[in-house]
Amino acid sequence: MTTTTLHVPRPHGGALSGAIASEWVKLRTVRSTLWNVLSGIALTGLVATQAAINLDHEGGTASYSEPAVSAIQFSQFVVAALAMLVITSEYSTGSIRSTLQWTPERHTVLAAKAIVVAPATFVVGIVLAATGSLAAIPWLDGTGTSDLGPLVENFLLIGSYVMLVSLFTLGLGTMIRSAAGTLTTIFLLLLVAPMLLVSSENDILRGIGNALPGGAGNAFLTQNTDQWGPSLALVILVAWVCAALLAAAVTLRARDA
Amino acid sequence: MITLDALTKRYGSSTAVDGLSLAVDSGKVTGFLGPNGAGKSTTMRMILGLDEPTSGSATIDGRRYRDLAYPLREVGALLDARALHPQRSARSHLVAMARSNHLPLERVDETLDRVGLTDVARRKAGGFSLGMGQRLGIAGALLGDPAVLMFDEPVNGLDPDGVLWVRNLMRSLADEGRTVFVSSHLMSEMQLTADHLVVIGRGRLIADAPIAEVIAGSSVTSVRVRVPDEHQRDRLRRTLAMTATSIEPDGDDLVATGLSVEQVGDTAHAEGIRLHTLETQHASLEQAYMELTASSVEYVAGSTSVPESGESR
Repeated sequence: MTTTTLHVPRPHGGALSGAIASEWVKLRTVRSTLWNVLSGIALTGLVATQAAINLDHEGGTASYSEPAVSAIQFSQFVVAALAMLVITSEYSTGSIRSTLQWTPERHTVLAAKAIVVAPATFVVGIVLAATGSLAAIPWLDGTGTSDLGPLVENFLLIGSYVMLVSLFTLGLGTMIRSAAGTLTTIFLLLLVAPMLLVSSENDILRGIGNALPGGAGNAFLTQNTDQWGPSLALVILVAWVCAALLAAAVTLRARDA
Repeated sequence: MITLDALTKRYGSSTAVDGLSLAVDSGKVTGFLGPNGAGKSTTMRMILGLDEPTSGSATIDGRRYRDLAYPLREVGALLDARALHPQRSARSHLVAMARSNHLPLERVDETLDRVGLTDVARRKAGGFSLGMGQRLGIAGALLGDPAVLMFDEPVNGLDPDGVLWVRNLMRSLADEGRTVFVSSHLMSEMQLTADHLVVIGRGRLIADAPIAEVIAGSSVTSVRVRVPDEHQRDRLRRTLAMTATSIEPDGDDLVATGLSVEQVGDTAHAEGIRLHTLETQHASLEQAYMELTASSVEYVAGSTSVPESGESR
């Protein structure tokens, strides 16, 4: 082109690094991200306070971070919503067509979203763990311990758990596309179905409940050994995440935008 | 250059685009016309890799859009100005766009300036008027300084100043040697802007020709001849009626279609008829277009629903 060539230098870096940078800009330039984090903090603080009061009542000793673990069972959905909106808001606003126009290789788009969502939600998880622990301290007069071991362990567990749940939600959201459908599905898979099945008298149903993302996730988060050890629970949860992201990659590739 | 080769898209049993083959050349503004539901938007979406063709291919300088590592540097497109997050500011939208293709951020501000949105760059794009949204979409198309540009209904919602601005922009982009492919419903606008026309109807190619040729090919193109003497006028009318498609009196004038100005002049000369005026009356693009697409209009007024825009999917 023999034109008024504008100064557009040659690109440095590949399509994936560009897509990641773009996704990061998109995540931090919508108001909903901030609201998600703030409401996650508020909810975690409230539930952790309640959990701390109960825990103190029971006596014994517990890490200050224990109430945060309990609170995450609820506030995980707020973080999951943040991850969900990364994709469902693009479908509801039509901006998915812009995204795919900028980065036409669809697997690159999904990979970039996952690569941005993972560390972002891990950090949010750590922030929520800290919030829950701080909220608990005043209520755990006699029972609380500030031993660094369990504290760090719980922080990392919460961060990883929230991150994995977020990636799972991102995968589901990519397949389902609508926010309402995605939220309903993760509620069922993370909370309702495991809760019902785990309390069953039937071993098989209980096993299914423990193998669902919510059941396995809970076993991992609370390091519970009822059905299988926390390590196996983590493997099951990671398998769910991989399955959701793979299915998302296939549907995103196959579907017209 | 954009090349379509037997491009076809079917949705179930309906065929939106049916074996479309054409080349859109650089250095020209190519207008892309057709009735609602003709397959214009579907064609553009396939060029951009948003929709996968059922068969055939769409390539840009020989490569599929999906194979371009930095597509915004090669193809700029405005398909739907509303395809953005309404809560994000105009500038943030363009920053995300620039980042995706490793474009320098100076381009964002230059482009915002070029489309006249600098003052509102930090406002939420969702609050923009139709015209401002359209300008933002055009900014996105220009961001990567691409050699190929596609615009779907770019003047939609623009005020007269904006329409003039878009017209000049299209012209200058083509004059810079770029490929400019523009769809529009506004025939008068296309007549002023386009060098070349591609007309489709029901997914099929109806015309692919320079705009002058499309207009000249219209049967509405007529010859007007003024004969001051009434008897001579009647005689000329009877003679021409033998070969003309139609001939109508209009005061002192006769208006004939299906004849060239030379044929009318020669006939008058042979008959010894005195003329005051002899001229070709060109059809407007609108008339030529209506004639071309008459048989392929999907939604006829009077039918139950008339979609305002947007192609059938």
